[in-house]
Amino acid sequence: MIGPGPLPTQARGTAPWGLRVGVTLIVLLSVLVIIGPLLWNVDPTYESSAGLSPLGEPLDAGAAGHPLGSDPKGRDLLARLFYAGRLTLLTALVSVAIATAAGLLVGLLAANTRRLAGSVLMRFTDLGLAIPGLLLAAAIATVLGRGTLSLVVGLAAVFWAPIARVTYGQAIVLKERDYVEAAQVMGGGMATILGRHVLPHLLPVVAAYAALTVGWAVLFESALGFLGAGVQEPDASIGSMLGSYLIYYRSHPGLILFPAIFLGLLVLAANLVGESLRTRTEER
Amino acid sequence: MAWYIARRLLAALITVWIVATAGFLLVELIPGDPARSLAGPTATRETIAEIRATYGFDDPLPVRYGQWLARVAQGDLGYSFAKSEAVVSVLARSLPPTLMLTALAFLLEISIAIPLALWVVSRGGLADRLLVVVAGATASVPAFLVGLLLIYVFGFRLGWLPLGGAASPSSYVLPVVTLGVPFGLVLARLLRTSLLEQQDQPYITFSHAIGERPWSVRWRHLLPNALLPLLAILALDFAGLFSSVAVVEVVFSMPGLGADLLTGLRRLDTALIVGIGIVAGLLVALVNLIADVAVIAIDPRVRRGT
Repeated sequence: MIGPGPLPTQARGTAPWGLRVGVTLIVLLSVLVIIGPLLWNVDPTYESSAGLSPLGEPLDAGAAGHPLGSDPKGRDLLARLFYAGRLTLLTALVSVAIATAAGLLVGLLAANTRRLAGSVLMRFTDLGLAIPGLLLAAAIATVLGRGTLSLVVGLAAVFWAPIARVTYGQAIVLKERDYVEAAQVMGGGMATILGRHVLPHLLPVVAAYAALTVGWAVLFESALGFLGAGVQEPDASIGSMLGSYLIYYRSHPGLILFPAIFLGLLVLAANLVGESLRTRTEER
Repeated sequence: MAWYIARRLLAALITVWIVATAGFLLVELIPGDPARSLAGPTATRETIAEIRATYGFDDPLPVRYGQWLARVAQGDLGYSFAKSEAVVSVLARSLPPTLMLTALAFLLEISIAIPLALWVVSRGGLADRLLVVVAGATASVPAFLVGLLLIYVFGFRLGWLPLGGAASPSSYVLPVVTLGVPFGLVLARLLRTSLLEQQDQPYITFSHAIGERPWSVRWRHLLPNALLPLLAILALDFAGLFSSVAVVEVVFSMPGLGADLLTGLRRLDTALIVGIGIVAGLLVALVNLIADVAVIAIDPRVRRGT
């Protein structure tokens, strides 16, 4: 405990391994779901008895014409997986983008308005944090009518609150910094100060949390799809695939395994990026 | 201190109020005529009109909101058409098994996290890095997939434990492990960070310097101080655990709120979904309250109001 601390294992300026691995994984998975359907040009919604065994069972991986096998309706699993991966990725990114924009707005407003309005906004945010998120998302996604759009709304409604909390926490610290006070003294308007002096320092931290939130959004999507809320047939998301194939886990584990691998890699990538970004911003 | 608890109690009540209001608004947002769906497809126009009158569907929005709040306050959460009984009686049946599973999982979580974090911090090196990596990895896999894998290996392949249900105590083993181990690892990781922060504080150096035994320093000084900042997180975590419990119950086909939620979502039974939401909000508010009181119990600084 006495003497110099351990040398930093990380040379300054290079990205930590977690960030590199995470970004690589996300790029790979995105390329896979974008390029995949172009190379493997099979209709993911095409139901056919040709895709089933003579007994009417789904085909296992490695069957002729179906590299990953087929699903219980004779649809090609690989094509469906590309399609589902695309929808899951898109749903997560769009809902987190909405949530981040809303969270930033609420957090900044709360930090910069007069005391009562600010504290009311933050109380409201705390309530958003206290409600079990999965339930809220499930309720919204069901009540608005099951489908991809209501799923996005439901997820955004859950995830804005933590982003608003982080934004608020950072913003009230930044507001007291000397350079912000200097800008105020020099007569900068609130918009200028927020946009030019506060936001640039805020964004790295918020970006880290947004990346972590993408991981959560993917997990929530899968849990909701599993419970039957969210994306509906004939569309497919990773979650809805897992939900509808659940009963086949004993006879055809591949139906669960392949979507699960995609899901795990995606969440892992988002978590790696988010965690390493957060460690970096906290070290500074 | 009484003032502090009263304020927290008020905050808890406001949470429940907001959840109930959100539930009301959600029901109002549903497109379609609730009277018609209650009456069924073969009902006559007169029956529908009668239902509208008895349930007050024709009243203006603020009146309906007031009546809804009054009913919720009296414990009337409406009628579940999917279960053909009052929502309250459905929940009264489902809450005990869900609470039981949550409590067992929470117990396992704590009994994994505390010893593991203490051990890892005192040992450092490889064990320390391993915990960070493994906890990060488990956070990337949804609970229902872990549960499914466990059922496949221990229930189906090896046949050691039941595939699901809640018939015998042994059917609780897999669900509790599914929930408790990942949450325990994640908590251990948080506790590790907190322990490392506290480890370099002067009071620890002092305790060592006066010759207090290492285990005593660890359990009497280090742990309580490291746990303190985690209590609020733990209470928030309970909401997460509760969500996971619902999903894991479905995977293991156990009776409980998870099964009700599934029914509600599949059959679009809004009364049931909103009812579960209100009960969940109540529980989370209660747990937050307990965490706040626990902080008072552990931290004399809060007790003295400094």
